[in-house]
Amino acid sequence: MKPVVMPKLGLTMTEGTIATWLKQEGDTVAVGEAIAEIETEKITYSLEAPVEGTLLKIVLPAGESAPVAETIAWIGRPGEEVPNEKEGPAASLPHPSEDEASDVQPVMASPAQPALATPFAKKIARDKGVELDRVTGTGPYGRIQADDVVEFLKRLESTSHVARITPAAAVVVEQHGLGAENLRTLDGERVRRADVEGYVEQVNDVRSRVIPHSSMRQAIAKRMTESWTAIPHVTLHRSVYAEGLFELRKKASEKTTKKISMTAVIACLVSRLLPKHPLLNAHYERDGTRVFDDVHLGLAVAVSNGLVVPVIRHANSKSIPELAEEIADVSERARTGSLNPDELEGGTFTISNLGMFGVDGFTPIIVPPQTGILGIGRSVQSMTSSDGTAQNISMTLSLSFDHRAMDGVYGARFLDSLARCIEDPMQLLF
Amino acid sequence: MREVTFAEATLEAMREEMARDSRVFIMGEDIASQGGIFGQFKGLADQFGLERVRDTPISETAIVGAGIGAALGGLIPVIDMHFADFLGVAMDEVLNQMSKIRYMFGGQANLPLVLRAPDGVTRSGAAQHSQSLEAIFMHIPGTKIVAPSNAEDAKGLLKAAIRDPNPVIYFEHKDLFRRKGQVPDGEHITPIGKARVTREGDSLTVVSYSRMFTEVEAACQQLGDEVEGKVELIDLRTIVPMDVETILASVRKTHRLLIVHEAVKRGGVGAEISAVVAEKAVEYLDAPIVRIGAKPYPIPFSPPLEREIVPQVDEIISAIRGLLNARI
Repeated sequence: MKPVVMPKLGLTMTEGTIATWLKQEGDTVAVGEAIAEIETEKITYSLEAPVEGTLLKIVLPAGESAPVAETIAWIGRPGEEVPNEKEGPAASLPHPSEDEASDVQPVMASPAQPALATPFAKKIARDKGVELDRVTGTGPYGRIQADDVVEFLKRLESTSHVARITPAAAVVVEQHGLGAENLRTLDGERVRRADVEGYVEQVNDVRSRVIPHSSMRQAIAKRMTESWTAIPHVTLHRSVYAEGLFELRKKASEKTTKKISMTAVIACLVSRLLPKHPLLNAHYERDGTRVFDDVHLGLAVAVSNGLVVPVIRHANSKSIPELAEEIADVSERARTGSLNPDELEGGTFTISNLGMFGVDGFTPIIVPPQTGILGIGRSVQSMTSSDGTAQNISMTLSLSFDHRAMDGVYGARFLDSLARCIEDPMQLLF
Repeated sequence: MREVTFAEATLEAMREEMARDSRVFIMGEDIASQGGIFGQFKGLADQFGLERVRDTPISETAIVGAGIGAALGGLIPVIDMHFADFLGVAMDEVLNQMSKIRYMFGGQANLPLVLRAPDGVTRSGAAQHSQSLEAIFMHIPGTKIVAPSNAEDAKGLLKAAIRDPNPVIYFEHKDLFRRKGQVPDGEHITPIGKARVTREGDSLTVVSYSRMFTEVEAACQQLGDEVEGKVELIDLRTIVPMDVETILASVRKTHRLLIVHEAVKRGGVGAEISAVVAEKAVEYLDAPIVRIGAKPYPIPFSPPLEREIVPQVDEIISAIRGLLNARI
């Protein structure tokens, strides 16, 4: 008999959610057969059976989350005894102790790498039986501080408060698709049916409803907040004449039967230019700015319920048709949720194109720890002479950069080089 | 309460103790003839005579050695080093005699010696006249060390040192001598070994002493509401024996610690305090301990370079802000 554990999909994954179980208890499974869909903060992933046998027990029901490496199911021969209950996180912790530090038993380490936390945060966590891996640190370098643990405990309390709910009330909650957070406002010893109905009525009165955050939405919210609060953003806008770009796309299209996207052409120019502006092809780190020889280009791709940023590796050594093909491939797979988690990591610069939605210019938010992101606006045809003969195509480029890593002139120079190359790609040769 | 300068406060302590106990006398360079280079002995010779206010030759070895002998012989000497830097000349007397004799002779004699050592940076004293050396002497068992930051404690600690049966090194910061402060009327003694919490707060403990304590106060003044109720300020007052309990109680409450001293940061009193807190209260820390001290270079004569080496208010402000806002 073998346990099936929550897989670690990518370096930053700490927990995953079961979207659905594709097999039920008692079903026979073959090695490699998909048994569940797992939703992480970034992607949806098909979990394959590690061994063949019978799915004896599902430990983690659909819709629930578990930390990486925790047992979520058991596969074995029919009739085999499944170990009793999963070990709850609190069960492995010693009882809170009022004694001096020396008397406290060390907490069993979790299988993932230990969380970065202050001693005081660790003490509170230990006293309250909280696993630090579940707490998000807001201190420098993501360090967990006492406040973070206290905050976590508060959230935990507010959700456990909701657990005190009558079964009849639970049905109404279910019917109206209310999230647990909504019920926080319902006070009292036990939430009863009438409370929930009253709440629903009140909510309907103002004609609003709450769309619960998906795990991707939560992940986006977290990363955006991190980026926006930690990085001093500066965004530079520049209008450029884009004839050269269209010309280039036309030429590239002649070399292949596949469609060449504008994004691929811009990705090509950007990735050729970035090595000459190394502070923008970089990660901002504690002790310095890590600059990269190669360009691993992140591309913001809208998917049905959010946004993912797949990374095109070594973009600087790929041709326009190669880039076009790869971009089309990852975009398609992003939409179907079949990206490999590692395809979402390691970007050194990011491009976000909203031109096709008619946006002129915008202020893109940097993907940490990167130092820059380029926003691409729409192309506009403008008459420049009264007889209407001369036409110009212009577009707006918006470069956001991390002002800790560089200054305005540095960003402006990159934007200037890019503008020249877009007007006349031959500039790349000079 | 009366407002007097730090120098006058020490002078009051001397007068009161010399009047109270005829065994108390003072010796050092230019004390009787000049009244001390910072005016801290002014008028003593007129009041008490040259027998009890003695000018000495320029030999720190002889001054400290004679002080030790006088103390063993039953007198209560207060001896002046002119500049703390010159303690180096009398190092054997301090290290092997003054600090050891009571122990080595089983406590048969008291050693009520007060070693006054004007220290710290002031007016471009340069490398040999600007040092803060308390950490060197803190390392030597057998001697108490005090370092007042204001007139009140300057008087109170000097009187306590004179009455203590053990040798006490009294570090008085040269830049503090002319500063005025409130001193209580009548008999006033500051107990040795007791720190003072001058400002209460719940988010950051700042420990400092001597002149740098006044800089920390200035930083808090500038920060105003930002630190109100958050910063707990401790004036250490005594380096040895250190009031560890007051520091630990505060850190257990605030969970953050900043230590500020003018002496070189490397191997300084701040290192000792950090180590004690790490040993006894590490699990209460919610941020790294931050120490501010001088950079490890000889103090330059040049005023701009001097400011570069010695901690300034700005550095203290940014450390306080960083710790309060979880950015350190």
